[in-house]
Amino acid sequence: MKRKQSRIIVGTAIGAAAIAVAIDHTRQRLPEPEKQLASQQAVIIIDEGEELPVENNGDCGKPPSPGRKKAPCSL
Amino acid sequence: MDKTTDHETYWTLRLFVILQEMAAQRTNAVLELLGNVGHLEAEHSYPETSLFFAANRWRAFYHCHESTSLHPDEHGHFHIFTDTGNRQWAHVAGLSIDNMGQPLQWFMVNRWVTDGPWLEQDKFPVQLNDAAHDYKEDSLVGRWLLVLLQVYRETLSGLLVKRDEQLQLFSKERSRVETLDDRDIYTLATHPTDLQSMLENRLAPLLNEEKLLCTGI
Repeated sequence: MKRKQSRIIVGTAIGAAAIAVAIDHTRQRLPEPEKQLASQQAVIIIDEGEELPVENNGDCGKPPSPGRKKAPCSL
Repeated sequence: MDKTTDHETYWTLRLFVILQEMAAQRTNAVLELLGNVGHLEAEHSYPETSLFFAANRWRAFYHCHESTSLHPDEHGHFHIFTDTGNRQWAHVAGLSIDNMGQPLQWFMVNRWVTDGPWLEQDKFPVQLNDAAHDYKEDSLVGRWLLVLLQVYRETLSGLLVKRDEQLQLFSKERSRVETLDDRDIYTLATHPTDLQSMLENRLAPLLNEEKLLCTGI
């Protein structure tokens, strides 16, 4: 009898409704990402005759321009 | 329905417990990770120096992009790495997250995307086995990530195989190194993820089975 009660209690704890409630309560809206702040963009001084640096906006979700070298999602 | 293994059952129950913990706080992994960040900045990694977990042998960060994404409903994604020795961090998988903090899909990226060492597919289960007992003191997000990796162990192993098959396919008329550096190839394999369906499929049938009593919950 005791064994059966345990099963009912545990069974209730992970029933489909409990799963739905747990998931639902973790559905919390995430903040909208903002564009990189202009103030954080680096100022690069190019000396006369020096090559321009390659483009890298850190966007790993789109194909990069041909000049981009750096891994966009590296550590 | 797929036959659920004891390993999957164990880790799925662990995941459920973690989700209940998050649910009680009305939070999710991304919100928890962001903490008191006032403004979420695109192209920025959170946390900046990664989140370490499982005895510091795994690490991850979350970020989102300004204009493009890997999935139409994606808010951002996690990148998960594992230490393959001597602090060499190999990328294991990416996990897309929607606007409500729910996982959307796992994905495998080409090497140029994250650079670093390439994770051989047979190393993945070994790395996970090593981490199985080293996560209980981790942060909530660290535990969530490690348990998710365990829950989706078979899926991720399959994705690593598919990744390598795709790589081989793309390398038919050129070297493997050229393919690994091909900026036109970003993802090599993806797998959609729905936590609620997965939990229902794996846990609901257990309600009538004896082994549910042995889970220790």
